[in-house]
Amino acid sequence: MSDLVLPLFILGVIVYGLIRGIGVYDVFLEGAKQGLRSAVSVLPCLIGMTSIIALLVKSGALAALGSWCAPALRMLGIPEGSLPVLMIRPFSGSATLAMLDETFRRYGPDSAEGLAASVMMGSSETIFYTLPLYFAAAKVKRSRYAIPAALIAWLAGGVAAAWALRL
Amino acid sequence: MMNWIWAGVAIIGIVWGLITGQQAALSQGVMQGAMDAVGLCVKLAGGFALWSGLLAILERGGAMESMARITEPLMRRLFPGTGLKARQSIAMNMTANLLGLGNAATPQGLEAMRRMGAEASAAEPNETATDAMCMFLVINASSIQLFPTTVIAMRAAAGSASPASIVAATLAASGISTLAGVAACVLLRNLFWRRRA
Repeated sequence: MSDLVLPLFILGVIVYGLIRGIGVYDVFLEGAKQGLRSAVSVLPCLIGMTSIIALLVKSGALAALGSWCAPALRMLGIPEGSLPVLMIRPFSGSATLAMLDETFRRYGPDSAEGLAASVMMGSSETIFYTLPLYFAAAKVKRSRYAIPAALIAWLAGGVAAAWALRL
Repeated sequence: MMNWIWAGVAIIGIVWGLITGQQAALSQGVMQGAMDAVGLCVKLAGGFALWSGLLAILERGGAMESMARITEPLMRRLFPGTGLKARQSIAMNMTANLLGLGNAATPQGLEAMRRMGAEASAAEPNETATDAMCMFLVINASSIQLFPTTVIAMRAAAGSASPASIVAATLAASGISTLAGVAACVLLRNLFWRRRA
């Protein structure tokens, strides 16, 4: 089922473009150029984050954190190895990217940990980056219940990620 | 805030490693980490470019405007008290997010916020977020993406047998997270954060 999604999506996009009378290849190239640029633009953050996270991993601090949290996580059904991705998700997109890569490296992308971490990354956003940015645009200083509500959504997403994979 | 987190992670890692006697692993690991980042970026670039290219076709075809029209009734429900202009930006932002067009979503989202801010301060000038702003922010922060493009590209780069296998689960999880966020907004504003009229 999942293997059908990608080819069908691409097919759909191309057919849609043709129906709309778009020069599909030309527009594709324009978009691809922008995609390349954004991949390059995240590189400095990525270097900063992967090297720092390597310190956390190699020192054994991350493993220690995982084993402290293990009982609570097991109760929620979250694999221990996917915890770091979940924890860092609200703070930084590139740090999550680096942590996800580390999780893949250690457990493999198709392991329970790798799958859960993949879903966690995709099911939430960078709350503590989005919130100040957006409220600044609205010229708002008091955010009322926005942070607690966003954190509730984040936690629900994390637990749902672990559960959704079992179905 | 990122400055503190970055410094904190580094300090915890180094101090913990020194206490447990891992200095060799630390110095080797930090260099390796920096080099891995470049490799990861190169691998990601292919997936990024492919997706951005495909999504550019959708964007050029007017898919975002169509979505804004279709979703207008829902928008009016979710964001009561907002003007049509603000709701249009909201709808465009959500569609861009849904499609994974981060580059298009953020400017639209900021525009939506700016318009909501202008409307709110025209009604009553103060610096407190309205219910519609909080709702919009929480929906944005809980992510609503049909295709987790970055994750798929990362999985492919890591040699997954089936990089897109997480699409259905991600959709379910982000749907639940968004619903939880909307519910939390409604609940919290009625329980604790009533706006003084």
